[in-house]
Amino acid sequence: MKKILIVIFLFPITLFAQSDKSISAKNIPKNIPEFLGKYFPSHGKVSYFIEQDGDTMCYEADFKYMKQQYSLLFDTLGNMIEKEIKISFDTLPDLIKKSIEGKLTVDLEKYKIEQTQTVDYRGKLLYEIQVRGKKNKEIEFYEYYFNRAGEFVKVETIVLKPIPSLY
Amino acid sequence: MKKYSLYLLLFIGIGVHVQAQNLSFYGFLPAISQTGRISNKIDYNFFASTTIDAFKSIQNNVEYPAKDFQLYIQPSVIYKFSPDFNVAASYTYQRNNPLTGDYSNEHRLWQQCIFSKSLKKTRITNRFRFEERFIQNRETGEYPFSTRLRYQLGLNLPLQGKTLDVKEFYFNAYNEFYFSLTGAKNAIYSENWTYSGIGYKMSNATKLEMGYLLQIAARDKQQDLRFLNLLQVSLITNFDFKQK
Repeated sequence: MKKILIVIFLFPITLFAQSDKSISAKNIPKNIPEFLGKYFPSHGKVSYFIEQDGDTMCYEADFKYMKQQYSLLFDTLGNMIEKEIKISFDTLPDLIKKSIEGKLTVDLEKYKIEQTQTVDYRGKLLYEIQVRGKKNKEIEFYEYYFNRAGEFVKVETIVLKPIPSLY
Repeated sequence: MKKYSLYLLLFIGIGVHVQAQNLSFYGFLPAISQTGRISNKIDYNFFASTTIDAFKSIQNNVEYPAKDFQLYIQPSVIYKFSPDFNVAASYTYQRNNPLTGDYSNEHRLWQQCIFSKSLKKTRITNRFRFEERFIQNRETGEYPFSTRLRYQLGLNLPLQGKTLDVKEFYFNAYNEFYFSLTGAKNAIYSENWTYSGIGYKMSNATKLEMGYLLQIAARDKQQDLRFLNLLQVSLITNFDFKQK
């Protein structure tokens, strides 16, 4: 049951990852820019995308606000469904940091946190931590997920893709 | 800043040296590039191309028939240290004028590293390649040794979204500087390649790319230049044998 809940909980993170296309601000629901203006006053330049996975469609707004990178997902009616914020690991509450570091120390011989972001899907908060870590003498890159309380949820090994370069 | 100024001067230097015995050719460069994942850290690549001068021309009172300039076969192994840094090594076979009697072979070993940096949607790549070349001298039958350093500054960006998805277009461009270090050479800054192209991701494994490639090379000690204006068409495949 716990595993099923975790899968359901993590599903939105990959739900809209299938394809995205840039879209002009004039082609998105008007309440999206209004929402941004109200809750993120004097935000940076916004890039809009339309994301599609099968029959499911949503809008994405990427922008900088208070020196942090935001990525918001909205449904077709313009209601926010997901909020991702790139943050510094050091800004996390001490208890959460300790919990995360504890798990990484158990799993990995050595590690370095490369990127931290919060993913808030309809009020359910996850911490997504990208880590460069050494395990069994091999260095790999991992994506760790922790819940609001800092409890471990899931880890995935990042598949290293070729850097595009014409040979 | 000084370094960039030097690059600019070298580039302009090549550009203004057009009054001498320069030659210009126009043609095609079909290429295939096949990459496969051996493990999460190791890829292989097989690249092959041929450079075709498509049109007969008369330049400086000399007739140049259309011909195949070069056959290039390059298998390589790539070790990925991180999403933004990898190293590679290869044995490469090159045959100049492969279909005519004045052919010459080249056996080449090279090692390279690529650093990349993503700036929003754009990925900037810096590629450094060091080559050990054994170029056939048809008169003596020997393969004298020479070395060359290449630096490629590249740019790659999806045109229809944040990421490149299937059935979407992307832009690819680079400039590559060639420096002949040791052995026989016409100039130290001996070649410069500039490329700009548009690609299309046909499927998860296949991309087709078409672009203009200008190869400028110092063709003699007087540093007369050869301009090769090429339409490059590349079929790029990426198979992931580890994928479930």
